[in-house]
Amino acid sequence: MKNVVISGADRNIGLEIAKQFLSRGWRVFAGRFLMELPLLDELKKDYPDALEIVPMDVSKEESVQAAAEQVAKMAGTVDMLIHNAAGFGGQAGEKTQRVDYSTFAVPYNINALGAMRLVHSFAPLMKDSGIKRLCFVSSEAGVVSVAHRTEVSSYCMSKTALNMALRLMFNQLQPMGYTFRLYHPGWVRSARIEKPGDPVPTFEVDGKLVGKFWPWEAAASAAEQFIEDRDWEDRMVLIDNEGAAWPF
Amino acid sequence: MKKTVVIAGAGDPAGIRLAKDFLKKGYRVFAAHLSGQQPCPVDGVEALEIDPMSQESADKAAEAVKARCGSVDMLVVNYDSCPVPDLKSILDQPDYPGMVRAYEYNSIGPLRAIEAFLPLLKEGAGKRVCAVTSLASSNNAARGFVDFPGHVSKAPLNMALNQLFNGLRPQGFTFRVYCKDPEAGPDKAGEFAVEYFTRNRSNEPESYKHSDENRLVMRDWMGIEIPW
Repeated sequence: MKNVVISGADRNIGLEIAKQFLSRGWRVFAGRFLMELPLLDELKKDYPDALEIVPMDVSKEESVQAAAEQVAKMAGTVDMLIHNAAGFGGQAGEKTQRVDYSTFAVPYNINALGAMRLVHSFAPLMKDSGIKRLCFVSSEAGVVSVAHRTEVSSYCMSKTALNMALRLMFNQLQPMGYTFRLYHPGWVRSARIEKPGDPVPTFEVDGKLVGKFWPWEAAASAAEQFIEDRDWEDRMVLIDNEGAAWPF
Repeated sequence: MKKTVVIAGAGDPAGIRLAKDFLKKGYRVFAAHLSGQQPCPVDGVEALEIDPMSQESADKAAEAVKARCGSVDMLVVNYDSCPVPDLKSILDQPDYPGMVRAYEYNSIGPLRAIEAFLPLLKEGAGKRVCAVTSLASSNNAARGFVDFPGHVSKAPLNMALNQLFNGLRPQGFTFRVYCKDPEAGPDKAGEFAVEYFTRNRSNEPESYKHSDENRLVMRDWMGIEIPW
């Protein structure tokens, strides 16, 4: 039985990715950040043996290290690592009179440094066995060469930082047998629910659905890309949910 | 009337070179060294200080410049807290708090200065924002696997500059992004930067296909385009 560790599995894309792997017979270590949100507990009822819920806050080194130690005790080794956790911060622009840069480090710490914490802490569990696959939910939002937004965004900057961190990791780890998947999920309708009873947004404006994909649609194509073997592992490529490759 | 330039980050070798070269070009130069740097040791500049971690500090510097001349033609941001590569890879113990500080300094620091000086740039005739960065900021050119602080803290500024360009180019602003030579000694740091910053690149033979003014490009000290 192969196993996978997923950060930010509490809700939305992360939760749906967990379901995808469970339905394919994988053992899933689901990183949990939102302790009040019961969605993972409900999923555990369906998969009491295959799903393990692991507290994990990727913004904190000691939390990720503790999660790695917990997984090491339960499984010994890890086949696949998925960094899905993401955070948002401030945004600047002509319409907002002044830019508040004080929150800009928040998504950087979660999205970019979180990936580093995961890989650094879990690599010892992957180096001697398994398929050594490192998967990351990135975004076209971090692609500098096709940057199209007109206001400075801490989220975009954090995804650029993530892509850079992945480039450096790839340059070292790919020759060591690790394989990489960078995934852009598309424009996904993600609900910011944190506890039971939080209203789920309708994603409708004037009666029309906004956003292009549901989390399960994004997760279905993510799981496929993460699992598939490629004979061109010596390239680091960002591929979206429709199979298109993006530049950096 | 003299053109006015503000150099945010005038206390390191590249910044000092910039100050000298702008004076030679006949500019009025406001040289802001960053907290922790020595003041820019060039005769003829008007000295300021900016704390890279503080918006308030950048705002105060802008107020001081406003009181003395009312508008600014060109702003240069030159922030580099990682001039020496960190030799640790992902398998070594990363310094996460240090990486957050490097990001605040190298990427957010310049944005705070741009934010503070934007009203003065809008008043000025030059309307040009120039950034000094390094090859470490380029994802497409990154060949190594060490120096996470230098690479990961600088790459996001390129994204922000592109987004500023998208928003401000239609308002008449132009941009320059210059990559330092990582091997250059103190006498060569920032070489040709001022030549690049001050030149009109909209009608050069080299850029006949696509003007450098209507797309954002990053060029090194030799004028060679560096991919993002």
